[in-house]
Amino acid sequence: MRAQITEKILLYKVITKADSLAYGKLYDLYVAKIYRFIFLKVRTKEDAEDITNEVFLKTWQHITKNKEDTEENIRSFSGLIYKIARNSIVDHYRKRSRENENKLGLLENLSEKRDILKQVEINQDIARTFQLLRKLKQEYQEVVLLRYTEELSIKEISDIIGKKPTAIRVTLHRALKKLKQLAEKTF
Amino acid sequence: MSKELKKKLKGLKTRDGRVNPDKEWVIKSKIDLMNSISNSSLGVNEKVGLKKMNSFIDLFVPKEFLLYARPLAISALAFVIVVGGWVAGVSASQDSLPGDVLWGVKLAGEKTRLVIASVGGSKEKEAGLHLEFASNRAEEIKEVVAKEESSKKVDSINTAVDSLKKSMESASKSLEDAATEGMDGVLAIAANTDKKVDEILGDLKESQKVAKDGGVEDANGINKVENQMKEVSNVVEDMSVKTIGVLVSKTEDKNIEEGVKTEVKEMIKTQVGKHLDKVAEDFNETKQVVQDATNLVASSTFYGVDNNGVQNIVSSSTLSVNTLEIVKDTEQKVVQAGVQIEKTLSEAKDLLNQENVVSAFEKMKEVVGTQKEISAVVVEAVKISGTGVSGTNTTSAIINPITTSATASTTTSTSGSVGTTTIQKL
Repeated sequence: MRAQITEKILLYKVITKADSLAYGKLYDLYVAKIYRFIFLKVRTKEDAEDITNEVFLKTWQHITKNKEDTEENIRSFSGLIYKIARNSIVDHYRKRSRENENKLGLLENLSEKRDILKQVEINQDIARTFQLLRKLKQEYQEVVLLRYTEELSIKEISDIIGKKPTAIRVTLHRALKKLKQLAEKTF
Repeated sequence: MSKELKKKLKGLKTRDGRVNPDKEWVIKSKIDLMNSISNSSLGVNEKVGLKKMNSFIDLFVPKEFLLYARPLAISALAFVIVVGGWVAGVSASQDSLPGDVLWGVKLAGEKTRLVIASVGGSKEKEAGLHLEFASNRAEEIKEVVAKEESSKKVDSINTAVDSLKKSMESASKSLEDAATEGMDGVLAIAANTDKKVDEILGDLKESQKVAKDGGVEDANGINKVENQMKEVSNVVEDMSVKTIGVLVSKTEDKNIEEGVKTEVKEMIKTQVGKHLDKVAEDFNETKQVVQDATNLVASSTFYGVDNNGVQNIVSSSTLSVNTLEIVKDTEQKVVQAGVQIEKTLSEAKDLLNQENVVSAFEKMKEVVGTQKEISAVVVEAVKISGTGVSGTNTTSAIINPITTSATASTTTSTSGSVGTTTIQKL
């Protein structure tokens, strides 16, 4: 509760005073979450980093630009930044499809770039879980990540995804069922 | 399985690995971001006033609350408009007078105040409001009388008089109720009554005077207004007497402390003293009316203002024979009443000095009754004698010649005087 209030106070400062220090604190709170959210969908570390940077910049611009011409009211930072992240991912794939680039799988990246073989060994379970998550369809990936990794409430997820909480519950239930099936086959 | 899976999903963020960003990258990225936004924030204007408020509401007030708050806010606004309109209407009606369109709104506003006061159940407040409204009516009567002549003037005064009487009756009822509850309410009502009765009687007396001095042009109208003023003054005085009666009854109540009783007795002494003074004053006025009438009818010929407002001969000695007899008879009654009044007043004063407030109050009631009786006799006599003199059944017909004949060059002879002494106030 206190964390939520602190977050709202920081956002209020950004909205009303374009306070960059407050935005820096929001960055600290959200950078890992947004990175994970993006990385789940784009698969390469570099893409995830680029898009994460882009998302934070776009969010800042969205908050601080004059919004007299828009009806949208900012109610929560998480709702806003996740929406921008989703849109950025869509933009990323559109761009990629034009460039006709081959997308690399997670495990390939894990084994190719950087010297992290040892780390992969240690976090084998995590890597597998992540791989399973990626096998789910986009809609399921998002709700599972937001609910069980980021530990957001159903209400928060419904704000981000733009669906009613009941629909989110149903999606989550189905996603988890699917994930279990996949896990049973894998583990 | 499900638990384990959830645990692993949760572990995605807690353990280092490819699913989390590199720490070095996070730091570098933040520096880059801060540089970018610091440059872009230069052109951003700080939000002020209402916009700040809107942002605050958006962030800190739950959306669900706002959804419910909207119909509530609309209802509240409607309520404010209705009540505000009502309050504005009542405020605008404060200067209205009987006969005005808004006077009804003013009375309705007063009734609303009474309803609110009655919710609290304070008889003291209720009585206070009734007295306040009665005082308002007395002031209105004064203003109506002083207004330009109109066909509705006497009717408007009549309406206000009726309302004043009702307020006094209600105040009287509240006093009765308060008397059964306790001493505090009674004392407060008594003090308030004493003050308000003085104000109301003062206004009514002034209204009567203004009506006679031209406030009401029609002689019949003057007569009506005078009668109304006398009648309503009696009602107001009755309230005052009743209040003293309640106080007197409390002095004999064993449940009331001696200290309080002493306070009550002082209050009774003051109020009884006032009434005795008023009786003396009223009797002297009554006596003067008869004296003037005696002077008038005794003259063989006298001048006065006729019904057309012209100073002229309005009567002759032959026409005033019956009038003379009536006045002589009245004169005798006044002399007798004067003796009685003087005696009773003296006894009442003595009793007051002896702190015997109960007996003093009884004497006061007696002398007030005597004064009222003789006053009624004189009014009646003046009426009858007025018919014999001017041919109109009005008091003013006889009073006006009396006042104007003093300045006119007429020969008048008095047949005597109505008593030689003037009753002194306390």
